[in-house]
Amino acid sequence: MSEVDGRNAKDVAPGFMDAPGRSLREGLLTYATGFVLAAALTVGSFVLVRTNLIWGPGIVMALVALAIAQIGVHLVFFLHLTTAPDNTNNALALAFGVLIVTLVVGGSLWIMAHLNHNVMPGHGLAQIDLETLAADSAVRTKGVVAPVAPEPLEAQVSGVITSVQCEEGMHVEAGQVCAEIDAQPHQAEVDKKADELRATEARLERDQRKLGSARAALERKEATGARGKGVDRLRRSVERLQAQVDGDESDVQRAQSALAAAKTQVGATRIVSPIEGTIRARNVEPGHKVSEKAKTPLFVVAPDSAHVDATISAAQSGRISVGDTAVFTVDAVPGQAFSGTVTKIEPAQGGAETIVGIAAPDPNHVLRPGMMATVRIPAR
Amino acid sequence: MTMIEAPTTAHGRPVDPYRLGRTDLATGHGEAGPASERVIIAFGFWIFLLSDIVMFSAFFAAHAVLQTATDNGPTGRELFDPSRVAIETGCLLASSFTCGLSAVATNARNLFWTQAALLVTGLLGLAFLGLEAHEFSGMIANGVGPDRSAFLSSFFALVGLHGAHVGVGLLWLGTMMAQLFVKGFGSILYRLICFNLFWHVLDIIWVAIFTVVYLIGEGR
Amino acid sequence: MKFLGNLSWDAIPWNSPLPLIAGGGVIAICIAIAAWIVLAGHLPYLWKEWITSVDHKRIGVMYILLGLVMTLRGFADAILMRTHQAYAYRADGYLPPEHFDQIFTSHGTIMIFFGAMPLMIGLMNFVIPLQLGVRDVAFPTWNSTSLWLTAAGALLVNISLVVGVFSRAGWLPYPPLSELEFSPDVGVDYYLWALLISGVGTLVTGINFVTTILKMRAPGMGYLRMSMYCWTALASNLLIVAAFPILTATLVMLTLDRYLGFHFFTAAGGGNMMMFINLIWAWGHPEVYILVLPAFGIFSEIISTFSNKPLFGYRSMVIATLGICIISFLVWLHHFFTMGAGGTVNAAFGIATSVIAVVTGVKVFNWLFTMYGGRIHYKTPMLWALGFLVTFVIGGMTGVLLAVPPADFLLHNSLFLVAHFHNTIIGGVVFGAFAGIAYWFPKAFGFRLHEGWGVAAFWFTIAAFYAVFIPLYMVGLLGMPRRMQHYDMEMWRPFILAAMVGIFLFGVALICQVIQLVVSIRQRERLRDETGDPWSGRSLEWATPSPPPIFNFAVQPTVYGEEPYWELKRRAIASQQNEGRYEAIKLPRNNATGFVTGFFASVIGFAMVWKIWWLAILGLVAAYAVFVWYAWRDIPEEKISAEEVARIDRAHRKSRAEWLARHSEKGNMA
Repeated sequence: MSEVDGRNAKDVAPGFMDAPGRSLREGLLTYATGFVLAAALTVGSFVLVRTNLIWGPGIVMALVALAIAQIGVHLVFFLHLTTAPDNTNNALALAFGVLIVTLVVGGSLWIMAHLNHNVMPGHGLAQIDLETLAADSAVRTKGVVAPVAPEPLEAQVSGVITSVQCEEGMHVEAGQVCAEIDAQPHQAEVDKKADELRATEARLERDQRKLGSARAALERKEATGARGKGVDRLRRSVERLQAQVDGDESDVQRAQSALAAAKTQVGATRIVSPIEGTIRARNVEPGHKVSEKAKTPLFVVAPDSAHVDATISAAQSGRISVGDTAVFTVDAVPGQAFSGTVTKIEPAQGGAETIVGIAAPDPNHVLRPGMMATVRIPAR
Repeated sequence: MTMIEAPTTAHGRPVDPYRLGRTDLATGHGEAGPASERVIIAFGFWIFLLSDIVMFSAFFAAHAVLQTATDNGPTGRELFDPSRVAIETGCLLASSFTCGLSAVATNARNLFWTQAALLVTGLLGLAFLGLEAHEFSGMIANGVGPDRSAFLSSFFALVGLHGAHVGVGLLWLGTMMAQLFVKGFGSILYRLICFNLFWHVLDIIWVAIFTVVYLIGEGR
Repeated sequence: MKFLGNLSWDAIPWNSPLPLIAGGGVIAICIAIAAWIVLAGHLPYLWKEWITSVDHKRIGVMYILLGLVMTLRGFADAILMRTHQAYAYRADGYLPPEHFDQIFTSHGTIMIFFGAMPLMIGLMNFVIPLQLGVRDVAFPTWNSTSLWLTAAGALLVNISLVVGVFSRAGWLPYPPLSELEFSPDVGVDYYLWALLISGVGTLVTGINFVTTILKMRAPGMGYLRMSMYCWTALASNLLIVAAFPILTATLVMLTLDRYLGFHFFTAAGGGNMMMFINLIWAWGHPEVYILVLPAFGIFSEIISTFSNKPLFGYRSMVIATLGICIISFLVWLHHFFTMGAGGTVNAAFGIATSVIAVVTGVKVFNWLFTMYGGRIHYKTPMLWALGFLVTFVIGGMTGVLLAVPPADFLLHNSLFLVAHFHNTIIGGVVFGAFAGIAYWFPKAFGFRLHEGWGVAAFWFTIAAFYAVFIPLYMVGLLGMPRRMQHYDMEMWRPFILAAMVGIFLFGVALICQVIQLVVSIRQRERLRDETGDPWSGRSLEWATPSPPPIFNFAVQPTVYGEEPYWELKRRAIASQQNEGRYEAIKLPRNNATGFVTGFFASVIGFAMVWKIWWLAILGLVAAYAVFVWYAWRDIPEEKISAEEVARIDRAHRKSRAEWLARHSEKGNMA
């Protein structure tokens, strides 16, 4: 192609120090200014991260702003890009490039974040949440309120209800007595079993004495070296007595367990709530006859706490431990924040994620299983 | 140039088949004919650099998505050493400055100062590359290489791609310095301009890298 | 370390007759052609004038040749697929699954990257500098390098037929299927290196043309005086510059996963497969506009020329073209509506997709209004244009249907989708390529193509197209997915059989094209183009002789208005008398940089596929050496003396004047 130099002197390519226009001094000054500005912005970025000059979540924005400023310094002072009419092509090309970069990066981030839309919260890949771009070190995740089954109180023994202490809707502590069954027949049973135990123990003692003396007689006979029918008879007698003692011992054991069972029965006449919670349902009145084979529980106690299951990444799991406070909100219950404790942290199968269990008190029973929770665990 | 005269209609008005309503002789930019060779070369190289920036943006997008995919492995906070990043940044920024100085020297057609500035640029670039190579080899030796997790893959790829560009640039720089030494200025003039553009854009990309990968990545 | 990496004699498919025979046949043909060239003494001419050429016209012709040959190759895959599916109802068919998978993968890869792209780029290469009134593109040696890098990629894909296997993962290799775990063989590696290498070539072409169109135009040619083809070429090349880096980046990520154990897209290590799909379609959608925008430009030229009218609504066409350019970067999610992005995102991208149909509609109406009130000559290029208008609009409408996410949930990856994109690509890009070839063939070679065989080729092609793809639309609506190696739904069978009939019609059409070429070459004296303007064109390329001299224009034209050549012609007799002042012309010298770079690129690609590390390093060192050698050259240009220029130009003027004298009583040239 033939050179057509000078024809379009108004047309300039980027990066040019247009020779006729600029002197040596001007050129040096431009680059030096650019260098100083860029260095200052760089130092600013690094210092920003170290200190507390900017509120945590705002650090990212500040860094981005500083980066954009520094890129601008490069473009103007090093690449001599201006908006002068002779630079239009270059500036427009740059604008086109910036547009494409914005579309690719921004579009990709938007799309990738939404690709987890239909996936269970906390599962799936790369949780790009604008919240997590904040520079504080709290662990943020989403969780689900897990079902906690209400506790049924069933009758373990049969009998007649003598008293009922718990009403529906009442708050009970763990171990609180809710009802009592007539203990008297069960107590009589305990007494009977105790008598039987004493009898078997006496028998055992007697047989053991007999065995002891028979053994002693056998030893004396053997010590004299005698043989014959007398010795055999003595030996057989020892064996018989041994067997009897063994049988007595197992009798004693059986009697002991029978006694213990009878005592348990007595204990079970007191219907006790195993957990702290609220009585959901009461199905007994004093005077009712209840049987341990009945299907209906006497009471149903709903625990007063809720349990939230959340998933975090393995990296995040390093920042929390069991016992940490966790705060969460639930979309279905707006305007209320719940505070709980981390009860378990264990790696999920596959290793990439960690399951966190959080228990939080819920006296008003507003949290139902399946509700989505947004969890934040401030790092220590 | 050609002697063909401007065509007219029978009535003496210029023709306008596209009905643009303009009667002046030329519209828009570039109507003075093909641009000069140096403008063409520099503009073409500028377009190439923009395409390179788009390629980097794809790697940036991948890194943004994968920044938290650490697969139980180490995170940015545990791996990155801010002081080393600061030194690397300083080296690259200074080399960008000395590259600009070489452009000033080229404009003044001063071979000695051009070569001197280019040499300093190259040495600073080598320092940058050496620090980065040291960082990479250390991480790989500790078992925290790109095959450890997706986050590390994207880190090594993005920063490594930039480093590869710096390496190719240094190779190019060396070749040009040799050519300058043997042949002086001449056709190399345009390529020096292109190298300037290239080196400055590499520094621009580094600004984005140290902001997004190191400084923001440290906070995760 | 083994000397030849993973390469061994087992790489050749001794046990598979089909690829063995096909590959053997192709190798035999190649050797025969090479032998004929060498023995008949054509090699020096070929080397000096064509292989090392940096002339955009020659490079354009070579691109088109590559594109046509590779389209035939892709068409062979198409015949295999259609016939296999016709057999494979409740049966195994004749292609085992591992072959069928390679065939649909290579069909897509070859047709898009080595068929359609070279055809479009080749036509742009040939025409754009002529229409801009300049002597060559901005970077002629880079242009040659682009061509040979593309050819290197094509070579690698074709080598995979006989040495090793090709990818089975589809023309876009989704992970995790394309990862090492599920594709442990070299197939995906061939794919990756072929596309990485040719992608560099395409990117450089994009840079070349953007610079040429923006910075190199004839004096007086402002933006709004460029031809419409130049505008669409500008938009298409801007898209190349913007989109191909994304393809390179994504394929590099996959290569890193496969070669160095990275975890970008793997199941292990926290990789994210959807990231691949997201990024690859961020390239993939602009790619289809890269293909179709030049076709739009070609049709703008053809429709205005053969309607004897200037293009209607030039400014709105420009705005529509640039609008398509920008919006094509806003729609890419519509390729994966079904992959879980949710309602908001799907809706946003669905609306953007529908909007892009609006701007395309603007162009269609402008073409129709161009034809209205004009005097239409139904030559082969115009027939292709009319076929395009009908076919592409149907394809666009099915596209708008698919743009509705709920509909796409049913039709995604069905044969309906396959029919839609073939509709737009064949109706738009392939018809555009054939039209452009028919239109500019006389300019490139100095004689027209035989009209009768051209008409036959057109009618067979369009009939074949509908015969293949209407049944595929219907069977897609009936629920048949794509890429099925066998199926057992009885109600699909008749449609698949009908499509097979259609593909044979397509074969007939392609045979017509080949016959047309042979007959035209035989009858070239009768079909000779003496004036350089056989169609009564309106833009600057018709001002040159056919074929144009290496310097295009003896004297660089100055442009005073739109449709510069048309104005020239209105004063036809007078302007022939006006000689410009002839000056010596400097042109870049032909050099082997491009070819040698392409050669070493093939070597590097092959070595990387088979992990022959020493060869790859050698190739890289050699490529660097080529760069240094090229940079160090002393005499880049050759000079054509003013006398030589004058001689060529005067001969052209004389021939024109004689033709005009013979025909000037007859009025308009037809």
